[in-house]
Amino acid sequence: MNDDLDQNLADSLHRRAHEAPTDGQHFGDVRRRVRRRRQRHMAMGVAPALIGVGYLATRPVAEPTQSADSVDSTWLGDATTILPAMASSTTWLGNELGYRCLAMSGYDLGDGYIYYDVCEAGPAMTGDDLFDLQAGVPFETMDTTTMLGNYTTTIEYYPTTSDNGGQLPTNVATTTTDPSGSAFDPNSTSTTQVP
Amino acid sequence: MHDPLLADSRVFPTEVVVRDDIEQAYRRMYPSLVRLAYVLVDTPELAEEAVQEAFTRAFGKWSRIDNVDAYMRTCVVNACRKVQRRRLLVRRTPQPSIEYGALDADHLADVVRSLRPPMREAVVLRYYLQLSDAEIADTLNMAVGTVKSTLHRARAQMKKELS
Repeated sequence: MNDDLDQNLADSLHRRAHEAPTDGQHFGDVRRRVRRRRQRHMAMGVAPALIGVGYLATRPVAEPTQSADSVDSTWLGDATTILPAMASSTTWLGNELGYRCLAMSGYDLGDGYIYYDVCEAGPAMTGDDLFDLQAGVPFETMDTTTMLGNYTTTIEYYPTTSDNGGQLPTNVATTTTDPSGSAFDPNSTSTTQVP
Repeated sequence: MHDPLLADSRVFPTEVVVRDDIEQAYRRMYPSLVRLAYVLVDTPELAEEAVQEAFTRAFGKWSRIDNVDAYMRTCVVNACRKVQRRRLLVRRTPQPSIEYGALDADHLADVVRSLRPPMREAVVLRYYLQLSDAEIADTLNMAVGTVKSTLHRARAQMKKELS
């Protein structure tokens, strides 16, 4: 039975095999397949590189970042105004107390002009003393003058005995003069007019 | 693009020698390999496709092949296996039946065709190509013992089908 089956199987498979047409394709078809295969492999290798280069070429360029110490350049929306370098002067006020008020370098873009702020403790002054100053504890009349370009702003602090809730003294008179010496109102100055 | 396949023999003599070798082998082996593939995949188109694909894959490594006949036989069997796998996937989706109506009625061959791929390949290699167990094992990349058991199970299944 096994021999019969084996022989019949062999005969059947040979008959089936010889039904196959064997005069079809030529070696040129293999060559074409090889070429297509190489092109496909090459494309698979090159495509990621092209995508990378394309991304680099079309990516959005980031806005230039402003470093912390570049106070002379400020972004003002659509128009950029290059502001003059500001004189950051430190003036000692009330030497006997040992504190100083810094005329801070900066532009208050909301008001369109400069801001002055912050008194800090000197070597002989503690944090409590500074708080007292900001709370309006009496201190001697003093003034500080800051040169900003050709504009001069003089701030005068007057003594007070009232507690204004931890804010800087409110009874401050600020006088700003332009290069000709005339009085100049900083509140009326727009941002683009800052010298 | 420069293609070494079409290169001048004075510039690329090695490529041309390789090309001649594989071309001669192609002419010599093509009919027998197509017949083998035809028994495995049932349609002449797929059989020719399998043989072409086998030669395409062998092209780049032709100079490193020791036993060309055995290598190409394995390549063709693998290509046919790929075709059968693809066909199984296609059968999972409702599609009109193809190719079987074109075959002549041959009950034994139909039984062979109904075998699962490893059994069918082992049966074809044994009964059509008359290969030994060791050669079948080499071609199908399996142990000789596995070939023997596979053939035994295939024969038992065919007997059951025929009885």
